[in-house]
Amino acid sequence: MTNLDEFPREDEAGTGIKPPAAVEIIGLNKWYGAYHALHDIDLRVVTGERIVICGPSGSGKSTLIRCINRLERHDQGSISVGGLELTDDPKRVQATRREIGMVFQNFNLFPHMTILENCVVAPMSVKKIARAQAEELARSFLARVRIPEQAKKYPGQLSGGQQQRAAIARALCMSPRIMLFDEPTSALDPEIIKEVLDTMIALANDGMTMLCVTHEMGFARQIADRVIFMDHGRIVETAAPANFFANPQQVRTRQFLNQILR
Amino acid sequence: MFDMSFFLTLLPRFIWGAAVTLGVSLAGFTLGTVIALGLLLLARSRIALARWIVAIYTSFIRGTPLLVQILVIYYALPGLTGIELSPLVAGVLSLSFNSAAFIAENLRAGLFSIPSGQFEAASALALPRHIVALKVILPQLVRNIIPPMASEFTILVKASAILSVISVVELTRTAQHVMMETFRPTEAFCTAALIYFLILFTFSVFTKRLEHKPSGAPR
Repeated sequence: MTNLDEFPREDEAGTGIKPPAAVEIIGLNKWYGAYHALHDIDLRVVTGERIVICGPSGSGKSTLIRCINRLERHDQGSISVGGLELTDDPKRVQATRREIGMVFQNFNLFPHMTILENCVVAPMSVKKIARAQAEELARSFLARVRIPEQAKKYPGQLSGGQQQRAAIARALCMSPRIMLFDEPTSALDPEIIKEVLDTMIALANDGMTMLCVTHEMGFARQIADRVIFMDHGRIVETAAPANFFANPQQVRTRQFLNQILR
Repeated sequence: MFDMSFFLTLLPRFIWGAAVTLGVSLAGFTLGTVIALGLLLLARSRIALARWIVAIYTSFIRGTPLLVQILVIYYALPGLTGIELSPLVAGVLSLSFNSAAFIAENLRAGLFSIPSGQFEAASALALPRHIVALKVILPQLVRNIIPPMASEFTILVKASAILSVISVVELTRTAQHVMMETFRPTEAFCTAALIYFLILFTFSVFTKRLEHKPSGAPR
């Protein structure tokens, strides 16, 4: 079993030795049959960095972040999380997943468990934390996403925004070093999107390493260190948000921004 | 006319018959579920032969009458293999083999209707496989399959009447005995019908409740 406490942080000791990136992707390719879903992706994310990935549907942005926690298997190239390369070894996959929290478009809360149960199941079964401590942890995160009063309810009794915040709390209960967001607000009504974005902004301000697939450009402007634009399985453009929005270099990026920013 | 005193004096025998009917149905359903789980595993196997066996088994069960399946197991099996079974055992086995094919399909459909996001969320949380199976998938599967499993059990209770042909003294056979002893077919078969109806009606009311509130969780 990999010792997870030895997962290296970004230059923690100030040694000047280049530490491993939070996520390092080199020469990544993925095919679905004959369809080339990801094309020569290179991406290095350092600890604490906030990345927003956007692009038209089918551009491979979801596939890319799903490769990072192995919900999708990549065909070529390498993905390393905290310096540990992802392989087919199930133990390696589990060790990587323990470091990564994921938030889905459709929340994917377990409908037969209360919100509290949803939050404690992984800490108890993966990290072997005792129930009392796991519940205390869960309640603190539910308070942080501002739904402490929903702990004993079932997902079906919550609004979409509350469900998504519960899902964020569930992921945080595993104390991940990296959070992946796969279109977290796309299934939500416009008036509810803000409460989820506020939660994500608070998380970003706490220094969480984040990769967010989203079309919320206001969010990107506010918290992203880099915005990545993808199209047809390739990274077309990467820039700091100020440059990305004011001065996009690629024609395809400009077309995309014209379509979504009116 | 329907003779009430006749009905009352023979009621204990009918109740015993009903108990046998319920017993063989329950045994058939339980064993059928166990076999169905095996069929489901084989059907998802990587070995083509295993999947073939399941396909042939299922189409054979669906493509032949239950009565013939019972007669094969009770009369033809001893001739073919030398294994002789008592009527009760042969009857329960027939019901099990028959219901297994249908229960396997219910299980498959129930599993299929769980959204893939549930499996993905469990994977993303790094949950161990046994926790995923027991705590995430099984409770949702059970909730999904209550209605089709209840209807399969109802079918089985009614189908168990056919066991009377191999002299299992369940409810229908009891009615036949009573008729032959008393020459009162009206009372004998009406009583049997009434008891079947009461059992299944009670059962359907019970499962409707279960559907509305499975394991305390709202939908």
